[in-house]
Amino acid sequence: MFANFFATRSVNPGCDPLVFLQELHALVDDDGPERVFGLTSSSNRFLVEQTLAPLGFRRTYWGEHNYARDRLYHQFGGASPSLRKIATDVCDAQGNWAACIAGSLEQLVSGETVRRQVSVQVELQRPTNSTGFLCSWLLERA
Amino acid sequence: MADRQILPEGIGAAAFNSACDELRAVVGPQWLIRDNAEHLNSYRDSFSPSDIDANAPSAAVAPKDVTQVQGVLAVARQYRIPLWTVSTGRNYGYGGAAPRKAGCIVLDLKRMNRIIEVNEKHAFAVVEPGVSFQELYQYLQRRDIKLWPDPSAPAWGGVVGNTADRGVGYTPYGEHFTVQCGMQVVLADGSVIETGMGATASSAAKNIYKYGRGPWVDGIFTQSNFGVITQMGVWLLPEPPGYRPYMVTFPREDDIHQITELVRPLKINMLIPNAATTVGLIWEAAVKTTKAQYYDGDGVMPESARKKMAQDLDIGNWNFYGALYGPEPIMDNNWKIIQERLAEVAGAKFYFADDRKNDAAFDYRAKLMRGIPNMTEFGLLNWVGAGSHIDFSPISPVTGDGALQQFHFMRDKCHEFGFDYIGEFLIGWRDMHHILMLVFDRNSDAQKVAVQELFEVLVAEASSKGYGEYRTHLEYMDTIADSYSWNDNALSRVNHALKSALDPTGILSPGKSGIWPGKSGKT
Repeated sequence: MFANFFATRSVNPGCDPLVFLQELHALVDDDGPERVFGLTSSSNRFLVEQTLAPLGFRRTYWGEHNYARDRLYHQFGGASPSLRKIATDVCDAQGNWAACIAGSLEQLVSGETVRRQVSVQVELQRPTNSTGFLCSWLLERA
Repeated sequence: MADRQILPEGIGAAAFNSACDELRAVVGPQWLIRDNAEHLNSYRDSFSPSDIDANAPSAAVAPKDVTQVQGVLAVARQYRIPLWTVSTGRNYGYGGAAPRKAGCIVLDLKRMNRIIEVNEKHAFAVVEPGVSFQELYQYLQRRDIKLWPDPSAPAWGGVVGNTADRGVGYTPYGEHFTVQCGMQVVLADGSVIETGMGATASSAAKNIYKYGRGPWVDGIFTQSNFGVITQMGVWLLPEPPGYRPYMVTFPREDDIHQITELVRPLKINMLIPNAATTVGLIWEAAVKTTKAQYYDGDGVMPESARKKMAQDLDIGNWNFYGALYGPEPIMDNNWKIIQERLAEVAGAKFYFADDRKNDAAFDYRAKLMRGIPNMTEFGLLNWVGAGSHIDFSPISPVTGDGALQQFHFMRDKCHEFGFDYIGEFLIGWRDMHHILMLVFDRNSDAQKVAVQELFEVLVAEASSKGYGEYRTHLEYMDTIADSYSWNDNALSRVNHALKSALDPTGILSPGKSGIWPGKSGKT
């Protein structure tokens, strides 16, 4: 949901997140969706979490995707029993890892707090337009 | 949230439960946040480099008006439960909404979010503590009121909280406490006062003349724990007929000496009317790129990478931001003088908005200097992986020697501990705030330890050189208070006497600014 509505606004480093935070807050008010998924910078993940915490949202899945020294390091945390399989799929997907995670969204939904972590890494050429560090995340209303 | 229940010190579970029941009766059940761990997490110090439980609240309570604030204070007095007052609680570099001491109940004033008055004729607003800069800005925009607020860098900062913490903005009204006028305060015993002219029976002048008659007490309610501010008057800047933001880049690190010497007379003579800001290379770069783009090794970014980044982004080792305000001829004349002076620095380059299109850093600064709130500066935290920050902020006179000395020792200490120097100098009426943003990766335990050690070293070194901090993170409030030690800590004794007189049961924000209740006045 988040990606569909806001992804185009979140990919440009330096863009002001204020607009999407306001829209998100309005959209996810008391009667809004129960889950919010995103792929953002670390700071925007923080802003979204702080914005939605008073509405009862908690993080039930997280991924951190770090391009460093010609490798891509993925780390995942969540309650989903499929986390290991998703990590393997993400490795296989190489450059299409983001789409792979988005495609696994249904398996990531759990309603439970994060309780296990998985780390994997992939060798690749660092894309020149990489921002270095990205976060995928899923927030669910408690 | 930790599994175990966190309680206020000296309060048993049964007493705490019954206090919570009484608080629910005051504010309504949904506004006493205790069992919803996710919601309570938003009252924790998310950026803390140390043990997050050290500042964990036991609960949060959100009254909607003065009567409910009085009711909450009555329960706190009865059970001797300490409260920690926040307005929007968003100043994460200094601890967010978390209390100084674990177990406090956060007194969250977010529901008190009325803009009570905007007076166009006399250019002021009266707001409650829950009003953010963004909300005030939107209110003015929707009604086409030609007055500007002076936002803090993040739009969600609270007008009252930021002013009470002596925060700054970037328009000509950048020193917020200077343009505050009139407060309503609930004291610990539940009584309500109005300050200044508001204390008269008929208070037509309460938000236009600050002082009233007799001692002017507004200052003692800032950065303190002597009362709960429930309303505040703030002056707003009438929209000038013209506005022109500009940026000047300077190539060398040691240019900060000459820049500061040149800016001082321009600022004191008000040719530069707003908070003149000289931004370091990495602060300027970090909202639009990340460290990993230029250097993915460990430790401090090397000079070669810094040089490449400065070239790519067309920025300097120092980047000066200011703005011209007023009718065109006045702006033209002022610019002539400013440009002539700053051009004395070899290699200075001058830019207006048309020269910096699609430049996120210029764009957010230009907005702030024009009173438009935004959240862009948060992107700076992406400089390193999962970035967090605590800020170190000494005050000094506006001198080149002072700026260079501070820059050298703070940069060198940062490098010694493995951190990049990310800083800026803000020049106010007569003073200079040096804001050092200590950005660390919260996934790295080593960096979390190092940043704490670095902070202690910086405080000691700054103090030995005669620089005190103007505000600080929760963890260092006692340390900084101790550094205001002249005449055997005479000022701390006065603060303690005030605390004892105004809050004898010690229920309000214990430890705020190093002011503790009780006989010893210590934690």
